Amino acid sequence: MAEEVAGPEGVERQPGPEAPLAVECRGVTRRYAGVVANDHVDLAVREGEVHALVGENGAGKSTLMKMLYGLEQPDEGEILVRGQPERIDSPRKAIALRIGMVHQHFMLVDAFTVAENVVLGAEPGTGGRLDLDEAERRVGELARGFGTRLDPGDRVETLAVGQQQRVEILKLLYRGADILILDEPTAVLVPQEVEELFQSMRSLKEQGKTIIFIAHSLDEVLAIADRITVLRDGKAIGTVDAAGTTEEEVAEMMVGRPVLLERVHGKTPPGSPMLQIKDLRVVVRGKEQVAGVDLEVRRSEIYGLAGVEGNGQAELVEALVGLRQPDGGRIYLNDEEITSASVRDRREQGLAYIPEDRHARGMVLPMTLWENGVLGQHQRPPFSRRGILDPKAMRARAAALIRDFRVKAPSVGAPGYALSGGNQQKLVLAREFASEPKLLIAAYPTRGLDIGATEFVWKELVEGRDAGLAVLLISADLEEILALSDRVGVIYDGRIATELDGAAATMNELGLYMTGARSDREPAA
Amino acid sequence: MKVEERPPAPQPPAEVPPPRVDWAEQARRFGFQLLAPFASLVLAAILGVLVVLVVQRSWADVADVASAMWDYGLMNPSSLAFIFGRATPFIFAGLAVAIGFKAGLFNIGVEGQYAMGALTAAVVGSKLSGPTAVHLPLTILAGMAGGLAWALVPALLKVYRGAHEVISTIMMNYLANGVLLFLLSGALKDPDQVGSIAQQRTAPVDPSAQVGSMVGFFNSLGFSFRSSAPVTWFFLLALVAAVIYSLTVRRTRFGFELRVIGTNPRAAEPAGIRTNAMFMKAMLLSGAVAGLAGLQDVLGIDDFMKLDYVRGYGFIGIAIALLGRNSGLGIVAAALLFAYLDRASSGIGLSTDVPKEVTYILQGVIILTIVIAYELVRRYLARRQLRETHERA
Amino acid sequence: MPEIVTQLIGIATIAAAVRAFVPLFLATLGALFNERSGVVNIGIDGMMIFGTWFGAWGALRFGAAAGLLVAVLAGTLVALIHAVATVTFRVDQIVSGVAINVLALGIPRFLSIVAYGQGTQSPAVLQLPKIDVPGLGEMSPLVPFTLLLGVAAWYVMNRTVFGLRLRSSGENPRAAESLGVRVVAVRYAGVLISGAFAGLAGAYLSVEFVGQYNEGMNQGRGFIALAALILGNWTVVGSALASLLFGWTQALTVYLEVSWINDAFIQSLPYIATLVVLALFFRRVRPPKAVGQAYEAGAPV
Repeated sequence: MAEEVAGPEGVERQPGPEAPLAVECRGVTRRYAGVVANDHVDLAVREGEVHALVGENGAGKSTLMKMLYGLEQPDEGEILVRGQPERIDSPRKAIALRIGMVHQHFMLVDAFTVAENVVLGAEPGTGGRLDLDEAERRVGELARGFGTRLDPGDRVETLAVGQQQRVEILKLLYRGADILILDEPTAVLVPQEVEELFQSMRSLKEQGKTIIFIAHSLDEVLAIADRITVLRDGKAIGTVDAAGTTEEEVAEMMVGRPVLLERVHGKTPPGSPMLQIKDLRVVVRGKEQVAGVDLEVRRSEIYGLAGVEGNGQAELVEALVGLRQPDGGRIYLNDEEITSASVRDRREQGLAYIPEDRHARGMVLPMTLWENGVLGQHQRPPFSRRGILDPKAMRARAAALIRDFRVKAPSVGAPGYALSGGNQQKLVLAREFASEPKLLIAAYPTRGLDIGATEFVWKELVEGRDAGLAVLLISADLEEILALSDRVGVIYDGRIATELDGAAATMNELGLYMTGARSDREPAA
Repeated sequence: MKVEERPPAPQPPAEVPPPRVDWAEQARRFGFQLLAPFASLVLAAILGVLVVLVVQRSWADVADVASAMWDYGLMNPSSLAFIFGRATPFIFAGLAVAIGFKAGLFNIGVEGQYAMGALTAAVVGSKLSGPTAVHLPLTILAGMAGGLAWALVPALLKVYRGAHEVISTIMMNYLANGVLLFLLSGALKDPDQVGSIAQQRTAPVDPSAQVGSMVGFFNSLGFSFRSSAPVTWFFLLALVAAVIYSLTVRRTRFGFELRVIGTNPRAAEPAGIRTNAMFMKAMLLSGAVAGLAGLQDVLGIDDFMKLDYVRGYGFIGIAIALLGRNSGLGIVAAALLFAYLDRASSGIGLSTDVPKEVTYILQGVIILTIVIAYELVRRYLARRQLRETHERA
Repeated sequence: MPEIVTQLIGIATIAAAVRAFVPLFLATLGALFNERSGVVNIGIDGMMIFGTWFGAWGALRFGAAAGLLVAVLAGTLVALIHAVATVTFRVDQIVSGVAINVLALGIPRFLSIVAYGQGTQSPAVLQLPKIDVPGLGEMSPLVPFTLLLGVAAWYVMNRTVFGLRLRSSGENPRAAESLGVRVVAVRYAGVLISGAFAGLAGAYLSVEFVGQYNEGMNQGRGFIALAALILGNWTVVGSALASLLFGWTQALTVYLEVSWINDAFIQSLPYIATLVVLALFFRRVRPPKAVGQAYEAGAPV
C-alpha cells in the first residue's frame, strides 16, 4: 500500500491512498466567544505518514490539535482514531489511545535529568522506590531507537533546544504513543537542529509511527512531509501531496483571501527619520534573537514589519520600548539617543506603545477603566498636577476613548476585566493614540478585532501618519501590512531580510521572504 | 491569485450606548464584600462559644462572657475611651502594613520599626527642649525617622539583592530587641531610675514634647470618661493619618503607581513606572508610619520608653490591614474591633471564670477566616463579571 | 589555648551547637518538603511554637515520648489549616503563613491559662533518658534520631517515586500534571510533613532542650530555619550544614564572652547571620522554580 516517491533523500516510501487512516476529523467545529476557531474541518491522516498542517496565525491549527489531544472538545463533528469514533476528553484519554503531543512550549522540568523527565508519572521501581538505573536504561534504549545521542543522565537545562525537544518526543514514545502530534516543532530550532529533527522523524516513520505536525515554514514542510493540509480562517482549504506541489502553491492557499478592505492611501509624503535603529543586537539565553537590525522609520510614514512570530520581533520591540537592554547597537528617537533611556523618558520624548499582550502588559485588569485609560500618561497634566490626580479629567478622557473607539463598556468605573478581550484591546489602542505621540510602536494592533474595528484602527493609523506620526507596525496579517505600509520590512531569523515599497509588494513575495525561501541578504557566514 | 468578488463595504457599527453607572450592581458588589467580614465574625463567635463550652463546660459561663463583653466592653462609661486609645497604635500599624500590601510587599517588620521609632522619639523628646510647637513635631518626625531607618536594610536587600522582605524584616525585629536591650541598659538609660532590666527606660520626655489626653475634649462633648482613661490626641492623629492614607492611595500619582505595581507589576514597566524606586519608597514610607505606632505610649500615656513596650502591635497591624482590606476606613473599623476585643477581654478577666485570653482565639479565627472569605468573594465576583461580559459580547 | 578559641570551637561550644542544630535542622527539613513541593510556609515558626506548647503539655500528661508525638500531631493539624487555605482556596501563601504566626502568638497563652493556670510557662517536664555521645557528652536521644531522620529525608526526596513527584510539583506543576502527577495531593503532603517536622522541632526545644515550656522560647527559629533552607540551596545536605552554622551562632550566644563585644550583639548573632546570608546568597541559589505560585489543576494550558 505504500508508494514510492522521489523525495529530497532519494526515494522514500509514503502511505498511498488506500492506507488505513490513523486519525480522521469529520466536520469538526469549535467556537469561542463569537469566533469560529475551526469551521467544519475535515482531516484525514494516514497511518505511517508525516502529515503537515499549515496556515497563518489564527487559522485554527493549534485548536484542532488540542482537540486531538483532549485539551479541548469539538462543538460539532466527530473524531475517529484508527477508524473508531472517540471522545477524547482529557490528555489521559489521548495517552490511552496512544496519541502523544509535543507542545510548542515544552513541559519539562529543567532541574531534572532526561530520564527523570521521561519517566515522571510512570516510574519504574517497586514499592515506591525509584529505580533510576532502570529508568536510564530504558530511556537510553528508546533514544538509540530513534537515533539520538541523548544521555539519559544529563540535566535537561543543559541541553540545547533541539535536544530538549527530543526529550519531549521520548516522553511520548515511553508511553507507547504511535500517533505523534508536534506543535510548531521547528519554531525554536536552528537549521542544523531542524535537520536532526527530520532524521528523527524519518526514523520514527520507519518504525510505523504516524506524525502530524504544525508548521509555518514552507521549505521545511516540503522537505519532510508526505502530505500537507492547509487551514485558513478556521476552514480546511485542501490537502496536497508534498511531492506534487510547490511553495508558491501552498503559500497561495494559506494567504489568499478576498480583498475586503482597500489599501488606504495617505496624503502626506514621509519626512525626516524619527526612529533610527543601527545594528541592534539582543541576545537571549545565548541565542542572538536580534542579529544586527538596521531600520529607519520616518515622520509621516508607516513602516510595516512582517514576519512569522519568533523571528526576533518581540525582542526588537522590547529593546525599542525600553523593557530590555540591547546587547549591541544604538537607537535614536528624534535624533536623541535612547539606547539606554528608561521607559518613562522614552514616553516623555514621544514614544507610544501598543503591547502585543495587551491584557498582561497593557492594562491592570482589576483597576477601573478610567485608571487604565491614562496608564503611561498618568503623570502628565491634566491627569496629574504636582502629584495629585484629577479623577474628573481621567474619567473624561476614558469616556472620550470609549466613545471615539466604540469600546463596549458598562461604565467608566467598571474594572478592566469587565471588558471582552477585543474591547480591552480597543481601549489600549485608544489610549496610546490619544497620548499624541511622535512614534507609535504598534504590535499586532488589530489582532482579535472585528472588521469594523479593524477598519477604524487603520483609519486612525493613517490619519496619525498624515499628521506627522511615525508608525512602526508589527503584524502577522499580510493584508494589513500591505494595506497600510509605506514601506515593508521582513524580519527573518533576527535580521531584516528585505525592504520593499508598500504599494508594489505582493503577498506572495512577502510570504516567500517570511518563510526564508528568499532573502536579499548574504547567507550568514 | 484569483480575484474574488468584493462584498459590499461593511456598515459602520451601530452606536454603542454611552456607559452609565449601574447603582444596583455596585450596591450588590458592596454587599458581597461586606459579607466576608460578617461571615468571619459569626464564625469566630461560634468557635468562641465552643471553646468556652469545652473549657468551662457550662453554658452559664458562656452567658457570663457575653455579658462581660457587652457590659464592660461597651457599656462601661470609659469603655469607648479605652477602645479609642487602644485602637490608636493599631491604626498606625495597620496603615504601615497596608502601604506595603498596596505595593505588593510584606512588611512584617512593623514590630521592630515601631520600637525603634518609639526609642528615637523618646530620646529626642528627652534630650532636647524648646517650645512645644517646635519640639513636638520634631519629636514625632524623629519617631518616623526611626521607623524608616529600620526599614532601610530590608528595602535595600529587596531592591539590590532580590531578597524577599518577609525574612529580612522579621530578622530586623529580633535585632531591634538586641539593640533596645543594649541601649536601654547602657547609653540611654534613665540615670535616675532603678529596678530590673525589664523596667529599664529612657530619661523622661520633656513636657514640651508630650501629648495630652483627649478625655477633656470628649467629656465636653457629653461623655463621662475617667480622667485617667488612656486616650490621647494621637487618636485624632491616627484618624487623620487614615484619611491621608486613603487620599494618597486613591488621589495621588504616587498612590496610583503604588497600586499598579502591587496589582500587575508587568504592566508597570511599559507604562514608564520605575518599579525599583517605587518598592524602595513604599518600604520606607511603611517604616515611617510604623514608627508612629509606639508614640502614644512614649509621648502620651507615659513619658518614657521601656523594654516591655514591644507589645505585638506589629502583628496586630498585619491582622488589621488584612481585615480592613487595606482601606483607610476598613483599617479604622478593624482597629476599633480589635481594641474592643482587648477591652472586652479585660472585662472577661475581671468578672468571669473564663481566662481573658479567650479573645486571642477569636482574633486568630477572625484572621484566618477573613483571608479565606475575601479570596472566595473576590473570585466569585470576578467570575460573575466574566460571565456577564461573555453574555454581553 | 587562648580563651577566645576555646569559646569559639571548644568542645562545650560544639556540643551546644549540635544541640542547637537539632530544632533548626528539623524545621528546615520540614520546610524543605513543603517548599520543594511548591508551597511557601512562612508559618513554620508558628507551627514550631505550637510544637513547643503541645510537646510540654503532652510530656506532662503522658510522658516525654508521648509529648513528642502529641506535638507532631499538633504541628500537622496546624499545617492542615495552611494547606487548605493555600492549596485548596489558593489564598496567598505568605498571607496564610503570617496568619498562622499571629495565631501562634495568642493561642498558646490561652491554652496555658487553661492548662497551668498561668500564661507564660509550664511546670518542668520529665525528659527522655539521655544518652552518652562520645566526645560531646550527654545528649538527648533525639539528636542521633534527627540525623537518622535527615538520612531518611534524603532518601525519600531523592530515591523514591514520591520524592520525584514532589520535586516536580515544585519545579513545573503543569508538566507534572500533564504526566498524571496529582499536584494538589502532593502539595498537601508536603505541607503536612512540614507541620509534623515543625511540631517535633518545637517539642525538642521544650521537652529536651530546656525542660519546660516558656512563652516565646522559639525566638524566631522558624525564620532562621528558612534562611538555612536558602543557604543550603534547598537540599538536605546543604540544609544540614547551614543549620549547623546557625546552631553554632546560637551556641556562641551562650559561650562567647568577650569584654569588648557587647552581649546584646552576641545575642543578635543568629539574626545578623541570617541577614548576611540573605544579602549574599539569595540571588545565587536556586529555589524550586514554581514555589510560591498557586496552582489550579486543570486550568487551560
